[in-house]
Amino acid sequence: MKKPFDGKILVVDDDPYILMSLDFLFRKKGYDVLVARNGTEALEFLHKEPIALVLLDIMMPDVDGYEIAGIIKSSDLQKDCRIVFISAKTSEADIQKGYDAGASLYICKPFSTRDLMKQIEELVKS
Amino acid sequence: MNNALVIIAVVTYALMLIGIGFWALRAEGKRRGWRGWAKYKYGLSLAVFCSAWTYFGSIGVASTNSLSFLPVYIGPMIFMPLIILVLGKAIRIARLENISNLADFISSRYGKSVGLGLWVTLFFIIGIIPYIAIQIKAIGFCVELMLPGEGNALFFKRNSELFAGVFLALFIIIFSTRRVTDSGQNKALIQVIAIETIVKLLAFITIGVFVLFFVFSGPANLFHRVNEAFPELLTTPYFTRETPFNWFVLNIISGLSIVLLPRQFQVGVVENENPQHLRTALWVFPLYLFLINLFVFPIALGGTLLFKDTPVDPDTYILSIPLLQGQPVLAMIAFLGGLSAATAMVMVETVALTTMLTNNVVLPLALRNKKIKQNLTLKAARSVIWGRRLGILTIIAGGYLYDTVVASRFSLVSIGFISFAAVAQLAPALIGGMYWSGATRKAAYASFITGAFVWFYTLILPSFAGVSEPVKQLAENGPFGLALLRPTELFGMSDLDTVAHGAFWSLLLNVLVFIAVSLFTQKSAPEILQSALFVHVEKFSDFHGSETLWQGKIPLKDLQQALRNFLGLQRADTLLQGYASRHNIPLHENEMADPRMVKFGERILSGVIGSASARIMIGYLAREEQVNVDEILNMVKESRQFIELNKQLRKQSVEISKAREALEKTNRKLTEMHDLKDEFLYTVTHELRTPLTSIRALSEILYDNPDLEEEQKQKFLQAISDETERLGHLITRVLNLERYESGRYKLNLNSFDLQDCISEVMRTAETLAAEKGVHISVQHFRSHILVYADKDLLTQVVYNLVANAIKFARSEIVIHSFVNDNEAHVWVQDDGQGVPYDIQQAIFDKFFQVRHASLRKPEGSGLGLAITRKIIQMHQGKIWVESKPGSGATFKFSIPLP
Repeated sequence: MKKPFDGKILVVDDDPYILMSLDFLFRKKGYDVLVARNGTEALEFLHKEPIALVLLDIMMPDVDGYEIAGIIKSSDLQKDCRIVFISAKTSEADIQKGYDAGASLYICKPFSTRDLMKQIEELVKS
Repeated sequence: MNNALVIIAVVTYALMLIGIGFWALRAEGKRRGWRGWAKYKYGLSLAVFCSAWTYFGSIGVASTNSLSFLPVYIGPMIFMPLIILVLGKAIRIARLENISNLADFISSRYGKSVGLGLWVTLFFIIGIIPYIAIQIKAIGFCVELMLPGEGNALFFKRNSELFAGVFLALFIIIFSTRRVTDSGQNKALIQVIAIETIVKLLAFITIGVFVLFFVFSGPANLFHRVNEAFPELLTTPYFTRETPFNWFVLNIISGLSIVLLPRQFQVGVVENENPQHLRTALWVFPLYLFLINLFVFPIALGGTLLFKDTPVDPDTYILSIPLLQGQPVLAMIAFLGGLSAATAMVMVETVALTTMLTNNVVLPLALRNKKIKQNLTLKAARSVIWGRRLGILTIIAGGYLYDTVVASRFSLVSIGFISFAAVAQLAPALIGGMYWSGATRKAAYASFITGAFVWFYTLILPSFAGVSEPVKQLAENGPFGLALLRPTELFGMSDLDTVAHGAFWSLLLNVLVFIAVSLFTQKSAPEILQSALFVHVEKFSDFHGSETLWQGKIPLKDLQQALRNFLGLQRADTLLQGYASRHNIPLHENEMADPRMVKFGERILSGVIGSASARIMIGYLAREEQVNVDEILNMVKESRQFIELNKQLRKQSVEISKAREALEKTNRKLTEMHDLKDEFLYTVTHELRTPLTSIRALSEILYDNPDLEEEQKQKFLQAISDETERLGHLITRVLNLERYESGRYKLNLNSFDLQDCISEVMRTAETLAAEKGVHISVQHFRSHILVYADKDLLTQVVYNLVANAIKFARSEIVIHSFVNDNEAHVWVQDDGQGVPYDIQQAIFDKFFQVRHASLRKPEGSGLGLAITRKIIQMHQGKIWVESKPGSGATFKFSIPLP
C-alpha cells in the first residue's frame, strides 16, 4: 500500500479506546501515526519533530486542545502543521472557538469513521 | 498742610489697602499667618458698623446734642446676646441654602419669591444711598481740610469726592468681582475691612488721648474749663421725660441694624467662616463700640472750647483740633482713620447692595426673557460679572450724585438713623420668619409695604417741606386737614424726636400688619417647605428637604454645563464629583441627573446668582417640568407633617430597596441554578459522547474490516462491551441523581443492621480489591448498629466509598463503624495519596473530576461522590473527608439513629 504522504500524524485523546480506533484506522491507510494520551505527551512529540497533521481532543486532563493548538501555531518547527479538533464540545460557539484557534477542521464526537477518514484525506491532499 | 505730603499719604494708604487686598486674595484657601486671627477678624469686621457717621458724626452730635450719639451704640451692646443668636441661626440657614445676601434670604424664606427680593432690594437702595453719600461727603471735607487750597492741590480739593468715588469703585471692582464665587464671600475685602477697623480705632483713641491729656491736662482740667466758659452746658440735665422712650426706640432700630444693614448682613452672615467665631464677636464687638466712644465726649467738649469763637463744623473737630494745635502728623492719623471708616463702610455696603441688585433685581428680570435665559444659563457667565461691575458703579455714582446734587438741597435730620429705620422695616418679615413658621409671603409683602410707606411718610416726606408748598401744608396740617395724620405727629404723638417717631410708628404698624396678615392667610406650597427649613434649620443640617421638588428631569450634562459656566470647569467638576462621591450617586453623563444632584446644583447656583434666579435657571434646564409640587405639598400643610412624611418615604424606600435586593438575590440564585443545570447537562452529554464515540468507531472498524485478526477483533469487541457498560452505568447514575435531587425518589425505610450493609459490600469488593492487591479489613466497635434507613441506598453509599478507596489505596483499606452521640458512624480509611485541603469540599460536587480535569481518572463517572452525598443528605446525615495529603484519606459519614 502506498503511503499517501510523508508527514506524520499525531493523534491526541485521553480516551484509550478512541485513541485505539484512530491509531488502527490511520495505520491501516499507511500513515505514519503517533499517539498521545494527554497534552504532555503530545507536546513531547511536537518538540521533537515536524508533524504534518494533529488530531486533537479538546478536553484533556493536563493541557487542553486550545493550548496545544496555540503552541503549534507559535512554533517554528510546526509551521506547516494542520490542526483537526475532535471534540465532544459541539456547540456553535465551541466550534467557532476551535476554528479561531487555528483549526483546519472541527469534528464532533461521536463521529463516523468513514466521514472522518474522507475529510482527513481531502485535507491532506489539498 | 503740605500738599505733597497729604497726597503722598493718601496714595500710600490706598496702595497699602490694595496690597492687603492682593495679599488676602493670594492667601485665600491657604492657612497662613496667625491662626487665631480669623475669629478676631470676624469680630472686628462687624465694626464696619462704625462708619464715618461714627467717626465724625458722633462728635458733632455730642457737641450739639450731648449724649444723643449714644443709643446707636448702646442698642447693639444691649442686644448683643440676642444678635448673636439671630446671626448664628441666620448663618446656619444661609449655609444650608447657600444664601449670599439679605434680599436672597428674605426671598428664600418666602418660597424663593422673586418679587419680595426685588422690592426689598429697591427699597434698601433708596434707604441706603444717602448713607453712602455721607461717607463720600466725609472723605470730601477731610481732604478739603487737609489741603491748604492753592496751586495744583485746588483741583484735587474741588473734586475730592469724585476721586474718592472713582477710587472706591475701582477698588471694589478689583477685589470683589475678579471671579464669580459660589459662596458670595469676598475674603480679600474682609481682610482689608478688619485692618481698616483697627486703623480707625487707633486713630480715634490717639486723637482722644491727645486732646484730653495734651491739649488739656486731663479730664478735671477739661471739665473745669468747660464749666468756666459754658456754665450751663454741663449742669443742664440731658435726660428729660421724653428721653427714655426716644432712646428705647433708637436702641431697638440700632440693634436691628446690626443684622439688617446690608453691610452688616454681609460681614455677619455671608462672610462668616465659622459660627464659632460668634463667641469671640460677643465680646470683641461691644468692647470695640465702648472704646471708640470713650473719647467722643472729651473731643467734642474740647472742640467746643477751642472753637468757641470760630465757626468750625463740630463734625470735623477730630481733624480740626490737631490742625489748630499745629500737629500735622496727628492730623494725618486722624485723617487716615476717617478715610478708613468711610471707605470700609462704602466698600462693604456697595458689595452687599450690588449682590442684591444683580441677583435679586437684574437677573430675575432678565431671566424673564426666554432668549436671555437660554444664553445665560449655559454660557456667558462673564456677563454676570460685568453686570456686577456696572452695579457697583451705579451705586457709588448714586451716592456721589446724592451727595453733590440732592444732599445740598435737602436737609435730612440724621441720615444714619433714617437708614436704620429703613432697614428695620425688614425685621418682622426676616427675623419673624426665622422663628415663626406661620409667617406667610403675603404678610411679608403687606408688612414691608406698610412699613416702607410709613417710613417714607414720617421721615422722608417732611424733609421736602422746605422746597414744596403742598408738602409743607401737609406736614403742618396733616392730609385733608386731619391733624391726627400729621407726618411728624401721627395720632397726636408729639413728644418723640422725628426719627424715633417715624421709626416707632413704621415698625409698630409693620409688626401688627405682619402678624395679622400671617394669621389670616395661607402659605403656598413652596413656602411651607422653606419656612420649615428656616424655622427648624437645626433639623435640616444634613436633610435635603427639597429633593422632591425637582424630579431629576435635567440631563446631567446640562447641569454640569450650567455650573461650569458660572464657576469654571475645575471648580464645578470638583464640587459635583465631591457631592456625588459623598452621597454615592453615580455620575453618568448621558443620563438624567439624580434629584439630589439637581438640588445641590441649585444650591451652588444660589450662591452665585441668588436663590430666585437659580430656581429660574434650574427650572429652565428642567424644561419647565417642575413637578406638581403644589399638588404634593398642598396635602402636607405643616412642616412637621412634611418631615414625618419624608421620614416615612425614606423608610418605605429603604424597605423597597431591601425587597429589591432580596429579589435580585433570588434571581441571581435562580440564574446560578439554571447555569448549573446547563453545566450539568453539558457535562453529562460530554460524558455520554465519549463512550459513544468509541463504540461507533470500533463497530464501524469491525464492520469495514471483515478480515481482521481474531485477537484484534476480540480486543475491539471487548472495548465495545466495556464502553457500553460504562455508558449504561453513567445513565443509571445520572437518572438516580436526578431522582434523588428532584425528590421524586421515595426512600424505602426499614430497620436493619448497618453491619449487614458493610458485610455485603465486603463480599463484592474483596475480589476487586484483591485484583489491585489491596487488603480490606473491618473494625467493629459494636456487633449491631440498628438504623432506620433505605438499605439499598445505604449499601450503595458504603460501596461507593469502598470502591473509591480501592481506586486510590496503595495497600490497605480499613472500614470502621461505631455509634457516637446517637449517630451511626462509618469511616472508610485508605492509604492513598490523600485529598488536597482546598478541594476536600468540592470533590462531592457533580462531575468535580471533569471540571478539574487534572484530577480526572479514567475510571468513574464523576457522579459517585455526588450521589453518595445526596443519599446521606436524604437521611439527614453528614458526609465529609479528612485527609492529610500524602498520607491517605478517610471518608466519613454519619446518620442519626432512630
